[in-house]
Amino acid sequence: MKRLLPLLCLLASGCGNDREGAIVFTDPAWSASVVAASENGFSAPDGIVPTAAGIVMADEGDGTIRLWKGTAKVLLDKKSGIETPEDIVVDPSGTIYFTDDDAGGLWRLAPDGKAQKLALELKSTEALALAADGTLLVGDGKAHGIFAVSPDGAVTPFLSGITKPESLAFDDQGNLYIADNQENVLYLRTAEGRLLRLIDGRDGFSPESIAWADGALFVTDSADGKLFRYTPTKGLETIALFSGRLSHVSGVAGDGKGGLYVTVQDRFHPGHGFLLKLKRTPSSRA
Amino acid sequence: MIGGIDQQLYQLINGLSGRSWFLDALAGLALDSAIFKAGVIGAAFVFAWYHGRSDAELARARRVLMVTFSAALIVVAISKTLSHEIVEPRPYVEAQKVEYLQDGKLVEAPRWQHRVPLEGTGRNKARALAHGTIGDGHMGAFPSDQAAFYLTIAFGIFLASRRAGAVALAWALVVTLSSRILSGAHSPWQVIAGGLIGLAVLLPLVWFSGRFLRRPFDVVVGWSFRWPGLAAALVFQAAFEITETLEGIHQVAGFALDVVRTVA
Repeated sequence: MKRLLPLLCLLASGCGNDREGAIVFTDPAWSASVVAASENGFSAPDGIVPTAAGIVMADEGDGTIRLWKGTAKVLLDKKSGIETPEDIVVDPSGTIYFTDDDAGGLWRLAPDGKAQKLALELKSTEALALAADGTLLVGDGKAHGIFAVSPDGAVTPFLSGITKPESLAFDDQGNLYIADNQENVLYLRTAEGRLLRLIDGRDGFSPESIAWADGALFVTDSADGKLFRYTPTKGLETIALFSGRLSHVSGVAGDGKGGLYVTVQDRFHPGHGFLLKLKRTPSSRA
Repeated sequence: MIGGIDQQLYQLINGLSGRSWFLDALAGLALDSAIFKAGVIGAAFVFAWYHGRSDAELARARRVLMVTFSAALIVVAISKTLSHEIVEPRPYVEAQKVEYLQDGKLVEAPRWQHRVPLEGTGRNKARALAHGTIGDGHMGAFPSDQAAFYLTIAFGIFLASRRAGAVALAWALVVTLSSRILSGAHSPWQVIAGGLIGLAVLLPLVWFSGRFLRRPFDVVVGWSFRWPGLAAALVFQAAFEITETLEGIHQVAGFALDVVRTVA
């Protein structure tokens, strides 16, 4: 059908068929640019972490961990046993940790390139966050809970009853945000240990990845093609709507300068994706 | 070229919006009320089914109407598939800041001028978009599936009965489709493209059925004369579905698909 499109679109010199995707900004202060696409050496990334050395990507499309800085460098591939890397963090020593929902476990990739699978009892790992004390929190979609994993791999239950903990993020006060994209709930576990269902049962909201940056929680929603911004004072605000090839918006991370990096998995071309940068003009929303 | 003319035409028609509560409420009614939107078109379909000077004329009209209804199903499937693939939002969305992915780059498009209606669905959609909510299909409005469907039905009725068809076509253009442009749901070109797809499917099917499928259709038409009660019931169902833009068929098909998926 897609091959017939150009033909059918002659009906159509004005049908806009050279447009492959779109981003509608509900807050016009934001704008976006394509930093890179699959042609630049990666597949379909999910989780990302900007570091001084470049952007570390959990490339779910071809089961690879990559470092991208203009060009992509493979840090770990499927030969090591990883399948579909999901979420990723980098600790202060430069050690990379990532989850894998098909291979399970928590994976550690040391700066010297040595990889190790920890927490073998976790079978479908997705969400990942690094606590201030160095503990790693890992969400497991099969066990429906979040587990604390020490850097040497010891696993202890942290929180149960989360159907599909897809993404985790700490704010500046040590509160933990939890995205469940099966029940479509955004939880908040306060630093004191209270669990709140912050956003629950809202139409058009299915949190995929979350990241705390510049005093706000940013939330991607690949099911609905949206990017949200949440603050306790203003609540949930939609920043942008994504469509076409850009509709499966996946990972999100702050760039440290008030902007965001966002990964997109190409809706029409499996195994392809984009790395986008979103920035906000300084005079806009406080 | 077409884009520029399309925008100018859109601004001309949508420019009437947001000025008169009555006009906007009327356009809202044409969007939301099935009976106001397409009751006349459904009635014209029934009229054409029963109106004919001879049995031969009636038989030809009924064959054309059956083909028309089948063509409309095909046309909706085609236009929905196309609108799912082609990135062209509804005009009220194009009034926002939109960046398009073109040749690997994101390019900001000039914003369309859009007047928000004072009342009805058009106003509600614009308000919802400002709060970040957008309905399914609002990012893919080319071609208009409503235009494709109603113009196919109206053209088909016109082929079966000039008088009923003229009424159906006039209603489809002036009420059903103009209200969609007025409220920002579609641009004129999106509507015209829907109509062209409708014609491109309907005319060959009518020709093909008249030339090669005469016998099976004659059998069905013969049944409609023999069992007028049953035929009337089926025509009522067809007219009802026309008025509802096939919503009932869509829901039943969705349920059947769910059952198949669950069993499989």
